[in-house]
Amino acid sequence: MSSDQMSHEALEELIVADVLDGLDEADRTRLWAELRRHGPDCAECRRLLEEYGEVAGALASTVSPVALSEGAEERLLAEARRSAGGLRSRRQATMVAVAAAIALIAGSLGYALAPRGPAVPSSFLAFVAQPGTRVIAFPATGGQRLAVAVRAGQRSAWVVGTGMPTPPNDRVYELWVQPTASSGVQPAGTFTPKDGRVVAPVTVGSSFVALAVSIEPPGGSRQPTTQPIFLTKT
Amino acid sequence: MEDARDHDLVRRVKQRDEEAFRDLFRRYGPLANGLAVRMVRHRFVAEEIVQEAFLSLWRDPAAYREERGTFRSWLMSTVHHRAVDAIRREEAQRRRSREAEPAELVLGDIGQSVVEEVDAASSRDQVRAALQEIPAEQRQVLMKMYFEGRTQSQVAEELGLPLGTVKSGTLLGMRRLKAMLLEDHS
Repeated sequence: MSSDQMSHEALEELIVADVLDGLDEADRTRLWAELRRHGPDCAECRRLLEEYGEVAGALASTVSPVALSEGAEERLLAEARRSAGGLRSRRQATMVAVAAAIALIAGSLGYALAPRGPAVPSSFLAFVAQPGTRVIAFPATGGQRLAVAVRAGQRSAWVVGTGMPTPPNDRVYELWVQPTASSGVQPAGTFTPKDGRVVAPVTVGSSFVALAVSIEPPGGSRQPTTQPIFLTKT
Repeated sequence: MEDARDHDLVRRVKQRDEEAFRDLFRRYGPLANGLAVRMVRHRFVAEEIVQEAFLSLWRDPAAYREERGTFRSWLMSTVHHRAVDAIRREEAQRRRSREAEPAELVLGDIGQSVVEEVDAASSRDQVRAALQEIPAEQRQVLMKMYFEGRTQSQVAEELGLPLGTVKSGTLLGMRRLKAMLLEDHS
């Protein structure tokens, strides 16, 4: 170790945090710069990284194992076979899209609302995974949560929700958009929850200043006939 | 013994041995999933993280080098990195959201699907006991960083501690754990 290199004691303080993925970005940059300066053959650096890596790994063992879903093993093997055959990129792209979709929705509204499982339309996942997608959340009402995923300049959008009761007498929820502050509202699409959940395509117009949801007769209305139960300005 | 078996399985994975890959998944998939679920608190996201971690091994088995530690630690580290990424992405989205309600836990049926193994339970008890041996403040710092994906600055802010205290707590706590978990048994 040369005199201008960080000491191993100082490096240790960075390494213990790094193996926990807890370093702030500046410290992480500093750590990796120092590790490069010490070089890949620095036995003490390797020892610290290995030993503290094992300690971090041991922390993982404090959690109870959780069985994976049925079919997870076969899905993994099928993907591995495809991977070996050169189809990795499509799988990766799909998984990235799914992860992005979930992060986007979960990040805005909490994990409870995040779409999951095979029932989620792939077109929704594809939409929400695109760059520039924004999630507009209505203020929560009791256990009811509702949001609209939109993309600037696009008319198509998706409404997602959870804890939504089914309206009585075949009535439906209807989404309304207000294009400008001085204009009235326009219908953007109807939807009905299934088991309390909603993932439905709607059409919002390329720009708007407010969104609202009301309960309307079957098929929807041209103008709201009841007070909005959700309302948010954008 | 277990390490030797893991190393053998990984060597076979390098030779594209599907059965070895399956064995590793059966052996560590539930634990990896337990870690991911604990961190991201969403079963679907957790399972995607675990699947991607195993696929990364299949695609590039050389990424794991046995001279640098156990396979178990390498896999858990891989899962942990991905889970932390998911947590930080989610938090960034939440910060941008006007409605920042706490995420709900989706843990409903975990209790029914817990898989217990005797040796794993023994290891778990040992690490849990070691964690109880370190001062509560150090333990809290380590747990927030590891299981909640917090950086040291975030931990300092959340716990109302000086950053220097968090850094020294991390160091002292990890040193103590290392002494109890590695050196006492070497």
